[in-house]
Amino acid sequence: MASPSSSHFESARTEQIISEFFLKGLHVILESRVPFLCSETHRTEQGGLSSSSVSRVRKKDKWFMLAIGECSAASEILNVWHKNAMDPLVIDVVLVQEDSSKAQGSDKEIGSPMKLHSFSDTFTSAQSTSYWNVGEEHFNSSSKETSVKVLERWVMQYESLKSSTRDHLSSKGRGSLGFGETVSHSSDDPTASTRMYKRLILLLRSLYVTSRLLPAYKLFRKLNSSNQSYNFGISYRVSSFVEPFSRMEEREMTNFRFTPVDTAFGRLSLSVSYCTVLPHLNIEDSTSLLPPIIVDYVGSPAADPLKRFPCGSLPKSVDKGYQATSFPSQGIRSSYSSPFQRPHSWSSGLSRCGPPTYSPSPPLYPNYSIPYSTLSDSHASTSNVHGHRVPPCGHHNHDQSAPISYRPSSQKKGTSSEELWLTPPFSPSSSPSPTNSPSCNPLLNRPRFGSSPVSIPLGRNPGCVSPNNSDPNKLLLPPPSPKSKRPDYSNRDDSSRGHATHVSGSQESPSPSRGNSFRKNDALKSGETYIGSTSLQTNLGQKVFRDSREDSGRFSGLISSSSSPRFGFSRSSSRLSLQDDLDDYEFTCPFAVDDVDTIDSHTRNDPSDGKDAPDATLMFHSTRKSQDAAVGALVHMLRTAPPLRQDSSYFSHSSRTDSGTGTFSGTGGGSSFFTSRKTSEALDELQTYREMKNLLLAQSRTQSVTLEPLEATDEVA
Amino acid sequence: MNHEVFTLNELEVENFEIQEVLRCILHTIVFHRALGLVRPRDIDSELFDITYVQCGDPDVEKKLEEKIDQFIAWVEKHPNKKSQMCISFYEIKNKQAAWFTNKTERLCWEQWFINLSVVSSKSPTGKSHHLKPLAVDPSETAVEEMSAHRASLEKSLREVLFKIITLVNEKKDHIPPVQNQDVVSFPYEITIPSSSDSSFGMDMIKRMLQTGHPTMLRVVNNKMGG
Repeated sequence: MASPSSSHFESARTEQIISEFFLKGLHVILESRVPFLCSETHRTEQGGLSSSSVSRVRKKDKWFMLAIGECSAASEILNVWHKNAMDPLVIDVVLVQEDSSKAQGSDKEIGSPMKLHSFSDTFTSAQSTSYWNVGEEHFNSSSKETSVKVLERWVMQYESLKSSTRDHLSSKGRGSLGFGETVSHSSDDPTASTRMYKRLILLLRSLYVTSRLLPAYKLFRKLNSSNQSYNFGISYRVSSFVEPFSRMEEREMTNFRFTPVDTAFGRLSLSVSYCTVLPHLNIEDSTSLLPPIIVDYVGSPAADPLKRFPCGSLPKSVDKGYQATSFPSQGIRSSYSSPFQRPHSWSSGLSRCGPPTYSPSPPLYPNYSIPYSTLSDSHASTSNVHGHRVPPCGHHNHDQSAPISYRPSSQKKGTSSEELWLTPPFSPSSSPSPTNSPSCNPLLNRPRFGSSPVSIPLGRNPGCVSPNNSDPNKLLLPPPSPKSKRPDYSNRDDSSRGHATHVSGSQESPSPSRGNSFRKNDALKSGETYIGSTSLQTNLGQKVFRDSREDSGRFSGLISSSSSPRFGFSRSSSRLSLQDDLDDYEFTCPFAVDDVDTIDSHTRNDPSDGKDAPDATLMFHSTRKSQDAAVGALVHMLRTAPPLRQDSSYFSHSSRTDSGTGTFSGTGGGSSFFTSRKTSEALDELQTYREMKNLLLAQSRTQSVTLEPLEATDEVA
Repeated sequence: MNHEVFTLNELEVENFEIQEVLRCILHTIVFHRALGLVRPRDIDSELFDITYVQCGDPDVEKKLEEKIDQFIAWVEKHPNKKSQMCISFYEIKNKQAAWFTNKTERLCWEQWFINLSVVSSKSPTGKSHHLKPLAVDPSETAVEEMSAHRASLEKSLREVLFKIITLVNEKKDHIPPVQNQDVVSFPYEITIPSSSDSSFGMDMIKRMLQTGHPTMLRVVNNKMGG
């Protein structure tokens, strides 16, 4: 004979398991029938759960070993649904079809968002608790030219055993409730709840598979995946009584009954009646109010599979149309999707998004509503109508109720391991209520799409935008290329990011679906500043680097996540203005300023022949292609130069060095003479070359600036 | 512990349909035996208007795909034959340590037999021999036949899947305790016909005998007799 305390403990535990089953079962049904009702069902990973990801699954999601996220709508429904001892949970999935011949003026009503918070207004009585989702009610009230047809009826019921019957059965040890499985009714058996839990796991698995096999699932997929607006919608009704079908409906219905699961305190039964043949639906391809959005524009993530955008940032054609109601919606769109889905796979819920975090994108249209926020607000003060009973569901109810601890029993061998692995996730710690969690309100979790504008450092780069924007030429300058020293680069990125924000001002980066086009337009308006700044989107880990092989005056070799088109621009005008700031910055922009810096540093110095010869030689050798033409001309001049003049100055110079010889010719002394002569000549020639170079550089100041090699900057430094 | 054997209805399939049919059936069975924490994946069948559920374990998917490919390879070598694929679930038990051995025993507690009758597709040219050249368009006839066959197969496949669900729910007592945290809680094995038809049954019997469970012998006897 079971002790009263243990019996009560087992009873409470069983009640909680049953409550969670009702919640999860309702979740499975609604998410596979009503589009976007359980939108916060997020699955960060498609499919399998690795050992590392298991820990990240919320404890609430581990019930019955089926991680399908959470559904606040299901929680709220069960909170409101008054569960009596014998009342079943009846879920009717109905098809609401608009009568096309008379639906002229009701389009707007159809498309209005569904507000679940008002469904509590339709409560009639405590005995016959019944409510429709408000969308349908609204739909009905707005237009009477609709037809409603029950597609499916799911009935979940937990029949509690009477206490006398339970005691009788427990005294016998084992018993049967008639048909169904035999189960140990002894509340002393610690494995009874484990076996029950395992059976419920299997039942939920079957429910999940069945919901995908029934015909109504096709309609759900059609509404869920298509951006077309239809003249029909799927709604649902939850009630606590089974409304009998008409004869005609009964003929169309097929009944499938799952094997009941017996517990020590009752029996859980689940059945579904469904239409085997769906009614003929006129799928109208109504004109969409949404402007067409080009998906695979150049630079889009759809075009470039290597780039990924956050969830919900994709254009319409790959969107999965988040909408608050399953009715033909007009102008109610929000997008979440990932284009990298398998073509023949679909993961229910919103786990299609590749990135781990999910929240719907900012709506592309002005009219939208998020029912969950209103739902949570309206039911924040919902009282627990269940009185002394353990609340049927609701995560916040679980938080409020006393935690029911579960200690796996190791008394019996052979079952302890199962108890460990199939332990219901009773949570003693409080967990945030889903109704109050941020995930319930996608508006609050508006994702950051694309990347924030990158700022250009303030006062650090002469070649970059200055905050006062006084010199428009400075705005045209590209952001500086990073130095080879990485710490400088990272610092510069931070400063550059901040500045671009200032520069861009209100040009906040929206979702990349619009962002790229937006940035393009702005680039045309405000010049290359925006492009340049957004090109330096280092917050996405894209380094800016320069293609040293293309120093042809174009800002090339820049990779940004947005793949902004390259823009070439002139830097000649910018160079003039930059020189004023050269002395103020310790970091020099290698593009336009390096050579200036080099030249200035070179001209400032007063090179003597011996002292600066090495420097000049280095600079001379460091000239790249941009100076190739000048160098080539110089070399040509050298080659075609007439023989060195045997000036007296040279002679005197050489005679000074070779005073011992005194002769001009001869092998021994001649060699020294020629040696001294070559050195002096070389020095003179070097001086000549230097002057020529200065002349060339001075000329190039007025011409287009060419990129200096980074090595020149390093060498100078 | 009981050993349950479930035999599914035979499906008449064509070569190119084998893969999808087996995927639907095997994944549905495995999903019901994956009692670890799963995040289910809904997969739309490529050939049928059916959405089946995977348990999401990539290892499981890989193993199933391999076996399906092996089965298809066998079918290609043995065309127009009835074939059978078997998926068995085991339980690992530690035998009582004998004097010098500490043997683990693998007990089969459930088997699912998937019966397929592979037929070759009728080519349009084959039928045209019996018809006048301009009387009937053979391509249209073939398309109609194919669509009728596809619809029939889809309906049969749905029935098989519902049968699986029914059997899973009806028989639960024989399921052993879960002893690990894997997605698929029990070791399983998929058996396909071997190269020769005659050895297929023998392979099954050998496998059963290896388990050594008394009930296995009873099942073997029944199988031999039946």
